[in-house]
Amino acid sequence: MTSAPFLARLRKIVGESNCLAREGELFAYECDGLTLSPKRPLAVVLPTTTAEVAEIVRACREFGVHFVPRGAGTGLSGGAHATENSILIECSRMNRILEIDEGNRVAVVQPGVVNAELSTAVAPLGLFYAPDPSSQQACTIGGNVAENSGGPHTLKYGTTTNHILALEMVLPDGSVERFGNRVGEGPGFDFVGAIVGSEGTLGIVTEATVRLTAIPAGVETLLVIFDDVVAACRAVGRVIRSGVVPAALEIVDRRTIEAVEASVYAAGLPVTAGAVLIVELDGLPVNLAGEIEAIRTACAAENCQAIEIARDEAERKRFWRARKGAFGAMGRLAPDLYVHDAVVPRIHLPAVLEKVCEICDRYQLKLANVFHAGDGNLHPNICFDRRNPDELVRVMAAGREILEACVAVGGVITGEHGVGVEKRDYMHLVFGAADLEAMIRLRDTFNPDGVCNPGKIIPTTRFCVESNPKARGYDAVPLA
Amino acid sequence: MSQDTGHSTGAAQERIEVPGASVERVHRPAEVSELSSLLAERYARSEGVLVCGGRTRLDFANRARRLSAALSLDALSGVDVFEPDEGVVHARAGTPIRALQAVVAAEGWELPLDPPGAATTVGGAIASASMGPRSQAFGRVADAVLGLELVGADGTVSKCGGRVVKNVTGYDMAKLYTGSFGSLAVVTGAWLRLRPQPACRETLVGRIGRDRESFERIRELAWTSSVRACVWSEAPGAAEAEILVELSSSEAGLRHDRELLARACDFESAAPDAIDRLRDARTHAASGEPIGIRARVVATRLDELRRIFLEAGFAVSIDPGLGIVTARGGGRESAGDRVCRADRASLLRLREQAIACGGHASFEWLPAMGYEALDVFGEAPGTRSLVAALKERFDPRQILNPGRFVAGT
Amino acid sequence: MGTDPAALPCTPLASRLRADIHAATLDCVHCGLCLQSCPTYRVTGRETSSPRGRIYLMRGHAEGRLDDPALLAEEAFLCLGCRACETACPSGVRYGEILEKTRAVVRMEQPEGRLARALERFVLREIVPRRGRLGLVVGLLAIVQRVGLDRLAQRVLPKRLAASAALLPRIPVASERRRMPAFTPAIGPRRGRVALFEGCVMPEFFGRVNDAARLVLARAGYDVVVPEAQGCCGALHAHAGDLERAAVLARANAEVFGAELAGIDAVIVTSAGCSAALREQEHWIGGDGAAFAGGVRDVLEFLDAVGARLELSPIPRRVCYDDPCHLIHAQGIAAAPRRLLASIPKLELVAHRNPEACCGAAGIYNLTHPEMSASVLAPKLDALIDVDPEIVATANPGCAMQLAAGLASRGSAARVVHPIELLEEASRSVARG
Repeated sequence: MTSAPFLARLRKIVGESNCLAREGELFAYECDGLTLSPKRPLAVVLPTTTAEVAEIVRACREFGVHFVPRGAGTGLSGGAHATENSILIECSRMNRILEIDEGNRVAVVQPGVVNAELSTAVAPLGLFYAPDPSSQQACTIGGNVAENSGGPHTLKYGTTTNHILALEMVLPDGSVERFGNRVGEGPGFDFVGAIVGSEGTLGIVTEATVRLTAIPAGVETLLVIFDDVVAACRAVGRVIRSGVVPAALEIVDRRTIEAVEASVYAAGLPVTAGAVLIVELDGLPVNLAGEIEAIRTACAAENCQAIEIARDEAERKRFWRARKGAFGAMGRLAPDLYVHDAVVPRIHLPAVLEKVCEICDRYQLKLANVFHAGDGNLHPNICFDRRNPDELVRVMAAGREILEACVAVGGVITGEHGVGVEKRDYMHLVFGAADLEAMIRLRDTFNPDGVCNPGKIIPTTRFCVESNPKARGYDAVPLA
Repeated sequence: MSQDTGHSTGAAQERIEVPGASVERVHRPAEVSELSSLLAERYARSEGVLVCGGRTRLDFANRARRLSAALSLDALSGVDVFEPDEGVVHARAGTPIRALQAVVAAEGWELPLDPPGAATTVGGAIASASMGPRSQAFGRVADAVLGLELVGADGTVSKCGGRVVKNVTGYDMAKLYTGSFGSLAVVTGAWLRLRPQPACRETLVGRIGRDRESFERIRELAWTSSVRACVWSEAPGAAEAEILVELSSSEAGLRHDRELLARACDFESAAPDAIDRLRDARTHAASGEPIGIRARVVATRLDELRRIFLEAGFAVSIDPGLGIVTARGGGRESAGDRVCRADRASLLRLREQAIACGGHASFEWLPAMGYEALDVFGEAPGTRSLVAALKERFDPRQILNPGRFVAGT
Repeated sequence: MGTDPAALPCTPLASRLRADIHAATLDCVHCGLCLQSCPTYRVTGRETSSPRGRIYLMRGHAEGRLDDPALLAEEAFLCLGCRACETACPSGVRYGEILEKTRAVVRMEQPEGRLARALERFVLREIVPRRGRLGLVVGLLAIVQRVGLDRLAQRVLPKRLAASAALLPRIPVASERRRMPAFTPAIGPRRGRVALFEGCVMPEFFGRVNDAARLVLARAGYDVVVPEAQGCCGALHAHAGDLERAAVLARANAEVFGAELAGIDAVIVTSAGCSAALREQEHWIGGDGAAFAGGVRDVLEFLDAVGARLELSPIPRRVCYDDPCHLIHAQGIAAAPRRLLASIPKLELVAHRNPEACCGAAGIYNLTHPEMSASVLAPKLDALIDVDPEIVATANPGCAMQLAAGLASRGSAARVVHPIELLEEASRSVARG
């Protein structure tokens, strides 16, 4: 039960209507994009200024309550899930673009600015904000900073960490600090680089200075159809080797195509295709013809069925629907979806994909694959119904085997979605005690008493999950 | 790839001078386990060590405290893994950058690291986050790093990151280690991301007036897509500035961008290694000037900073596309009687002006007395306690390069 | 811990609705792509005032995991029902249907007591659908307006009611409120025959719009029949959670228009709210109205689809077209109105920011939730005023009232019309031959 004086203090800081504590409200905030292992916060506050955030943090310290930062709540690893004895500090109302510095290609934004809206705002200047996660119509810059979000265009443009120059942050002790500067480089340690991807465990970002990119002069989008997904992966390998750096390289497999074509996002793809590869090239128009040829060669070498080149913007959008509508379209296939986010070296993609399919077959689970093939970032989507406890157990077991298979070839357990609560207990697959110890040192430098978003990223057990059954990540899942 | 590993458990008698101290003994471990033992020993005795690689930038540091020995990583050298189909390579810290560049070039790749200095090692480039003119295309040093192996102050071996190009598994520790000048841990190996070698390359040289308009025109052109490096060189009192541009693209792309550039200035062909030579001339050893300053500011204030340094008597080598001014001076009087002053007030004034232009300035080297009471790196305001706290957690006994990095470490 | 489902009203209708709602919420993958398209989320930043949050509340309620029926009820009615979230949703969640059914269940579970709700129910059930009564009330209001009592009343009334009163447009003169002829022959070569759906609010406040539709259709070569016995479409009732009454009204219209269906090409509707409701009647009456629903067309959709060849004289004005939610989100119609407007010579069609965003009218929402309605309207007014149109065109009566009142309050002189009125004006002089 949340103490009345604490709530009264919060209401005083943000105003009645921005402090939510009704049962239904807390219920709605019990999870983010990850609906498993929900947890209700004690309250949710919606500040609008840095000063309010700092006061809230100080109030939390005073009353001995933890806090968890949240953006739009679209994250897939439970990074914005409340923890024991915590409130959520949601930054979505801090949504102003504070400054656009056209000459230096820089923007200063509050953390609640929606990713796509930043790009829309600077488009008239011939600029855009490059990191474009699939959730960009909803996710916020603050959330992107926390997760070091990627998206289909990271192959050429990098992830969020390549576009953050400076940050203002409220630290867990309630003080406000600035890190970095407008040139993205300064004396001392790269705190900005350490904060990006820290999943909201080092403090709450209240302002970000971001790099803007010139909109490329020309874009070409290709849709390539293959008989099977392994051939598509091998074609990707050839493209990497050819020296062309596409802006995006995405693959969707047959089951995904079927789901998309049956949904509102139907893109006119042949449902007999084994896999579809979407290639986007951008840059100087005189270079694009040559790059298209290189793509053709690479794909032909893997016996592609067909290659289409988008003739106009509408067709380009149609090609991308196949990829961007995938997650939602698969929502129609089953009540619940478990999305993995492993990364493997691209040369191992074909073999790993086969292994992933074999694993899911063995566990009798329906699988659809969507992935950023250019980065080796897989998104196996496993369909299930969480009301069926046996299915959930199988989904988790399959998930573990998939991650192990990826790590075995030199891959890692998350490329974009972050560790959060979801993959915390799989960190042992990738890192040893000394490696985690170093991370803890960083975390404890900022967050020594663990009041800020505790229990995320770093596993609380010293052992590998397998040897310590109690540490299984999913025992908090409600099986009803 | 160094051949001579020798008996590295013993130390060679050799003198290395750094600001504030010198060491007489240099260990050259050839294996990570040796390095680990050496550090563990030092840790037990609370003795500080100097960590070095190619020794090209040892004087870019604050005054060292109580150094008992040097650990040189140049024997910890070699390419362990190279995946030409993947575009990823693993090299040990002591591997010279030049050698690594040659290895990957043979398979059509290039290493996106362009630090000055012929002997610079992979570990040194990472520890000092050393950038060259081609950083315009390559990005920061940290952008090339996928993963690191390290040995801590107490000898503990650890790793961070991985070998894949996209990775958010836990904190991005590599960002902390990169550019930390060996004050948190010693880098022993790195997974690096490669870029495809460009189809065609071209280097152009031109001369242009030193007025603001000309500079701004070149500055804007520096952001043309096929410009990989652009350097504007100018000395006080000179008649003109010299511009060197390196382009990389397809044939058609080169033609297109060459035309764009021609509208600003008459360019001629230059030798393909012109940028390399210019880059390597920026080291202390090559420069011969007593004062070396590196400042970085926002693009729209770059011309202002250029003139500030010229007024102060420095020759400048500017990367307009990056906003970096590399200033060298103090060894001679310029025409018009402007002498570079190495006194504290003048240096700090230059730094203040760089900060006012949205950036910062660091003193890459100074005459001996210049190291008194001056932080060559500067300080990010408000971060001293965090810096000190981080250092305290990683290196409580001040073993690694004590005193050499920013205040608080 | 949640409300025990067994304790709730257990009529067959209630059970069926709850099951329908729950099944539909399972389509939601909780991705959040709907958030930024939702007007109430954009105003408040609250998850519970977003489609994702509302669906989560509905699902929790249905599964017994949530015990806050009051919040669910509040949010079910705070929602504008604009269905922009359906356009944004990648999973095809049928939010509009879920919302209607939830409101119905909420009404069943939470017994009437408050005066306001009883009054609403009375007005909706007893006044609005009955032409005679509605005509009488409107006639009285017209007198009030002519005499100037309305301005006096606004100064005297409590703020909330005064704001609502301000929304009332100038009630048209009696001649415009007269019933239309039952049959209008095509002018020139006859291409076909259509029936015109009048609606309930339209004839009283926007009689000229229906009349304009009748004239343009005739000029386009269509006989126009206006069935005498037709009535309110039931949208307002469904949106208020009274599905039973909505079903009664739907059946009545299905019968009346059903008799005409064999001889007509389409049932033409000028109000987006009505056409959306009529097309989705199966939610209320199953397959009974399928034939009728299948024949419904928005007037602009129809004229565009048949390639109506009208001779149009110039209207040299700056015009903004604002999309009614029930036309763009509920029916996917956005290009046709613009094409028709663009076909008028000398007409300058000017784009404003976010034309697809809700204006905040939402049926009687601007009366029940005036503050939120005004907050939602504000950015739309900013967007329109920024491009300074002479005319704002929109294809729904509620929106027209809201925009007209809003623009007037900002001192704009822009005229608000239905696009069909412009087509009528443009085709008028030519037709007089």
